[in-house]
Amino acid sequence: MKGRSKSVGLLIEISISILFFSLFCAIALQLFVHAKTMSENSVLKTKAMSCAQSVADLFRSNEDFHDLIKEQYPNASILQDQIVISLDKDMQPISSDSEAYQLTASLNEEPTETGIMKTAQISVHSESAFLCSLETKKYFPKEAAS
Amino acid sequence: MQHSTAEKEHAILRFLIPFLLVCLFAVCTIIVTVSGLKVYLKIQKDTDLAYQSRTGASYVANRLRRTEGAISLKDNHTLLLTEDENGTAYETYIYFSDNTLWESTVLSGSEPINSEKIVEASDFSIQWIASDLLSFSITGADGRQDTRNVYLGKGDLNR
Amino acid sequence: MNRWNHRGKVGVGTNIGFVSLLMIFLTLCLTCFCVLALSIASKDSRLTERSLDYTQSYYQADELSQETLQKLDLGLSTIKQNINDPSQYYTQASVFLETLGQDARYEEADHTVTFTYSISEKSKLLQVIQINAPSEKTRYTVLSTHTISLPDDLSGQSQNLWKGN
Repeated sequence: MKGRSKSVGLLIEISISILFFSLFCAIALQLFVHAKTMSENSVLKTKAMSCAQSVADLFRSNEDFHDLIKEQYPNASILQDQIVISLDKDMQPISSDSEAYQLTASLNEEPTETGIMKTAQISVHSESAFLCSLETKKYFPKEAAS
Repeated sequence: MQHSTAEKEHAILRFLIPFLLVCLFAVCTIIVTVSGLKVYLKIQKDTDLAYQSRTGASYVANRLRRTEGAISLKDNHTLLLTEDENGTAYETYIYFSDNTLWESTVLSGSEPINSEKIVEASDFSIQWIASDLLSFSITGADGRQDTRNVYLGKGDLNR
Repeated sequence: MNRWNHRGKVGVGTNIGFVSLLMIFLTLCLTCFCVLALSIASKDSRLTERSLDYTQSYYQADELSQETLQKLDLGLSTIKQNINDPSQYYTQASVFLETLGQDARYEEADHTVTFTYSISEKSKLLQVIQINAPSEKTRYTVLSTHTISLPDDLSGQSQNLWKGN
């Protein structure tokens, strides 16, 4: 009888342990997934900003922006006022077949009395998520008439 | 005789089944805990690798933006920044050697000594893409490359 | 006397309490791993946010510098239309520069002006511009654009350092 009550006690103990452990595991699993997602998002945002910075610095150069884009990103889609670069999941430029992300640079020109102010709005996004954006300007003075 | 054999078997079962149950519980919980450990180690490893390549790239980009003097390349793996401080010319070498990116600031004309480690990497290369644009790439230990273009903001550059 | 009637283990493989101890120990282990993973991920996320904020601030400062260049160009062009004499031109230019703000510092010796734009508490963007003579085709030349780090404010703190003797 004593042995039997101990068996019952043991079974109850195991059941309660399994119950508590599985509750805790459910919470721990969610936290692990949250940590992994946070880590992946950080890496993604950093890579996206790195891409955006590279394109912004090409824009800031004194050389022709469209020529530089053609050289550095041969697969980019180049229009007069917009440039679209397809990126894979590692933020490397690819042809547009299997893109995971897109870098879009919207260009604007504002002529003034003494020169032209060019503006570029650069953003990196996927179909469902927006990662980062940058705005940059470059002023090109007109040479004085001799 | 039969009665004692049955009792013996009964006793063995009463001993074995709970023991096996406890063992099963122990094995399952240990598997879950070891899986948790592996997930933590993977997160840490991925974070470390990402940190290495982005820290290196950020450091070089910001170092270039901070340079007031001349910027030139000794070769595809070595950057030379020349600056003047109180009339004395100093040269800063940022170079790749032994799977590491190093920085060394010396008097102009000297070779790099007492270099400081910037970050570990498997490759570093740098090149001019325009007179005021440098492009460099750092490859991390996991083989992933981080390429950046940096505008130097100067009208007159020493190539 | 019943052979199986021992004190201690009676009819079960293990003591009661072993399972609970095991569960507590493994729960503690799992908690540690969970907390460490979350801690690493959240620190990384905070560092990323700060890095992105700094980058945004840098480009905002650069945008401001380009807008200032535009104003400078317009101002110099206006002055040039009315004045041809270099010394008068530079005098008028130095007066005009004070109206641009951005901590403009004009050096008369080499006709350069330095503009300062704030990026963060510890970092600024400096742009050094040469004002060209009125006879030149372009009104200015950008000599350098670079960032500087501001030193930590150590006022109020002192340390007794060993002087070597």
